[in-house]
Amino acid sequence: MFKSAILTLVCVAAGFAHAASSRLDDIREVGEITVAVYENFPPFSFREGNQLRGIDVEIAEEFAAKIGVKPIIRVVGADESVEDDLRNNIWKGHYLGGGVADVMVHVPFDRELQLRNDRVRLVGAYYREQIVIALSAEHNPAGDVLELFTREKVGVELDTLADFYLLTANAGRIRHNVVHFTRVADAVTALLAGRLTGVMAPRSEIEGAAGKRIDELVLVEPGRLPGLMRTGWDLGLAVKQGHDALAEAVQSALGELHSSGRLAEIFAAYGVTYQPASQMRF
Amino acid sequence: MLIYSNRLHVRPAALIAGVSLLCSVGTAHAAGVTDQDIINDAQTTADVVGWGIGPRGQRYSPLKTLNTENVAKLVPAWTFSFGGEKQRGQEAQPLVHDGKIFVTASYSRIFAIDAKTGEELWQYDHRLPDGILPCCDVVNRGAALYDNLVIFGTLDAQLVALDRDSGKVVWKEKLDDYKAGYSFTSAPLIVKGKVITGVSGGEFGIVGRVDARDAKTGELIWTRPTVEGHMGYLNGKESGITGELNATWPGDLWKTGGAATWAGGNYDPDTNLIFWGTGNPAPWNAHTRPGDNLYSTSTLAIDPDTGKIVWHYQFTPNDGWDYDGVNETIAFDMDGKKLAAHADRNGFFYILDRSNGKLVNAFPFVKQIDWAKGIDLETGRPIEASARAGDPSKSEDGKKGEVVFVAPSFLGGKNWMPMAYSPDTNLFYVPANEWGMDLWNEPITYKKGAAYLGAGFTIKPLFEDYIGALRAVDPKSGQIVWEYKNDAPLWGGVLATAGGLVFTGTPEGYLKAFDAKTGKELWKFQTGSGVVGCPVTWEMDGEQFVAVPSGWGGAVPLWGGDVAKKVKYLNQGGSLWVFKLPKA
Repeated sequence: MFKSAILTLVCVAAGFAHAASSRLDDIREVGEITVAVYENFPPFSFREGNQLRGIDVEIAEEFAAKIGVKPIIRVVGADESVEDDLRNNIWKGHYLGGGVADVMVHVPFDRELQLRNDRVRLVGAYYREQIVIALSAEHNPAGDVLELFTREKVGVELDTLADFYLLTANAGRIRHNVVHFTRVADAVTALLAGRLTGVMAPRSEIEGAAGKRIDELVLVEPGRLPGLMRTGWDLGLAVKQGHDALAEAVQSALGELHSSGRLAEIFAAYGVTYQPASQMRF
Repeated sequence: MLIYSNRLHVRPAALIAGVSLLCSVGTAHAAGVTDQDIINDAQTTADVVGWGIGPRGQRYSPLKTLNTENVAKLVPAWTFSFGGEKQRGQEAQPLVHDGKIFVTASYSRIFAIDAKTGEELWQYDHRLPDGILPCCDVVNRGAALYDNLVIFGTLDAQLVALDRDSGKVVWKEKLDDYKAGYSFTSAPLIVKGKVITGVSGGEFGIVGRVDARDAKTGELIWTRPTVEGHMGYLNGKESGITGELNATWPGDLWKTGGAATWAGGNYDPDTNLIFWGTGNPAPWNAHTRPGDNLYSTSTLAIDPDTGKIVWHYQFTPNDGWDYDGVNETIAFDMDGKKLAAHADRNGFFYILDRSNGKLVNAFPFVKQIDWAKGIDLETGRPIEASARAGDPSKSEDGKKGEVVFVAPSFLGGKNWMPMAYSPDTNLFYVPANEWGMDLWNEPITYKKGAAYLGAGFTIKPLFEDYIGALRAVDPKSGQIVWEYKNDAPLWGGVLATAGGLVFTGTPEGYLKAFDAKTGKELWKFQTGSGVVGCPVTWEMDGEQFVAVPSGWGGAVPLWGGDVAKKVKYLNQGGSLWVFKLPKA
């Protein structure tokens, strides 16, 4: 599958015209592009009053503008896995109806994930996410954080990598101190209120939730945590396989947003340190 | 490992707003269904007023007009289409009372039908909100009748009571928040004027619960959480926590411990106990929650007057295979003893003393069980074999972990579909399935845009020629007296009758009748779509009728693997079929 995708891409680049009109043509004709973002997911996509805001929402608006169409933002819930989300939102649609979106934002940009999901094409990597541990500032970030959590409370979002890691880390000696929250933002609030000693979560969500109070926290990068297999991953976009012109259009739009510094501005507006993806395309 | 979380903002365009389509108005207002009618349901042949055809759930009818001699002549009396643009699984058990049939259908619909003519009396389509996304198809397993009400639950976790003559809403209560992952698919149970319900939503973050409400008003009387540490309530006051805080759960995991009560329950008037099953514990990775994780994967015996747990029996302590314990527990008597029987997902058939929950016997009802060597009859605990997936946090390289093959699969030696018991043959008729699963840790997986430690699984049939097997199980000897093999997995309920018959449906579309003693297939009829509903029988104007919903769906088609090739050609549908003997 992957080879053929590259082949198609080469053909497009070489200017072999498509006989039939592409999805991108249809989008331009209607003047609208549908973009799926996760619901209740600050700082990427969330409601503030009646307004939908967030980094992913603004990225969608920016690449839609570059394509020259209006973004229709579709707020979707997260299913059991990203693969389910890709099925529900990009290539098949859920059985309750509602159709699919043209683009899904916040999809891990991972070659393995691409190989396992040949119905979609991953493009436009725009950010490098990283798991960190936030401690209240009086703690020594150079100390042994895992040892600290055998004595002190640490907050996680329920059913996440950080959750599973801490429940089994240090031979289970941290387990009783793991406090579960439904959102990272709630854990950070508890940390800032002094009810926790630490929070383990993606950096962007911690920074976004702490806002200006980020100075009250120290962020420990987990490079030295034993047994934590993955601490970082790239994020990008997904389109349906075969929508190659669309894929190329969003790819180049994201490239421009990166090189113009606009991506960094968007992240900064939400208090998040912009970290470029490790690779922009496979 | 099934973490049923789905919330998607989609608009089910085909759904009509919650309106009752009144097609004709009943004239005579007959007496409503009473507690006595419900207690006597198994003996009264003119009606079927509750789930299980009698509160004990034996699914046995004393009718013998239709029997092994004449069942071959059984023909359709009429058929009724559920209509609509959406079909999917039809898992309901119809109810019959006062010449009317009440049957629920997919997408939280319910129909009242004239039992003689098959004409629709009214239809209620529950309006489902945009944000709903149920995990496991859009099924509904049936309604409950009480007084002049017909009560059923909806995918957005509401309980709706309708006037049985008009189909108009009399009361409506929110069972829980669908946005938090709660749903509802089972048939409510009526006990002593109370409507008793569980909750669905195997999702992380939810906690199972059994609630009792005043059936006439919907007012909450008691609630009993199924995970230790949670407070129960009776008449608005605290009535003690479930179990003992942190006795079998580490840290704060009990707060989100799962143990959903999604498959409904039965009631035993002899002991005045409700028997209710609970689902698997959360999170999926058993290594994160050392301990038994009570009361997940258990049958709870609950006092219907107070909501207190009188006893419990746990089938799969510290479940690591997604063996929900929700399957029904059926009261029956043997050798003068008051017992209860349960065929679990985990492949064992359990006989319990129903007065105290003590294990009397346990034996396999499927051909292969890998997760345990047996059940210790002294301690009541499984003798576990080494068939757990490894601890994903111990993976060295972050690659796919070792693959472990385990039977039964997580869809179970038997799933939700209720078995039947015949006091004539003293046999249980169990709709079983023979399948296992490859199970592995999947470190490179993602959830909500973030790296995640997931579990991979693929369901595999154990045999080439069949997955489904209707088995006649002798509770005394533990032997399988006969079996009927079916190519596709069995997913429908069973009915036994005094006419020496056993009925069940197949995904291939047949309703079939078997000789209860020998298992010989005596009759079948092709309904046009898979039968995963629950058959019932009753007598009207001197004739015996059999009814079953038809419409392929449910959880099986949602899981791929090697099972898919046995079911992918099956077409969806949505209808109620009613059969009788031709007039002589």
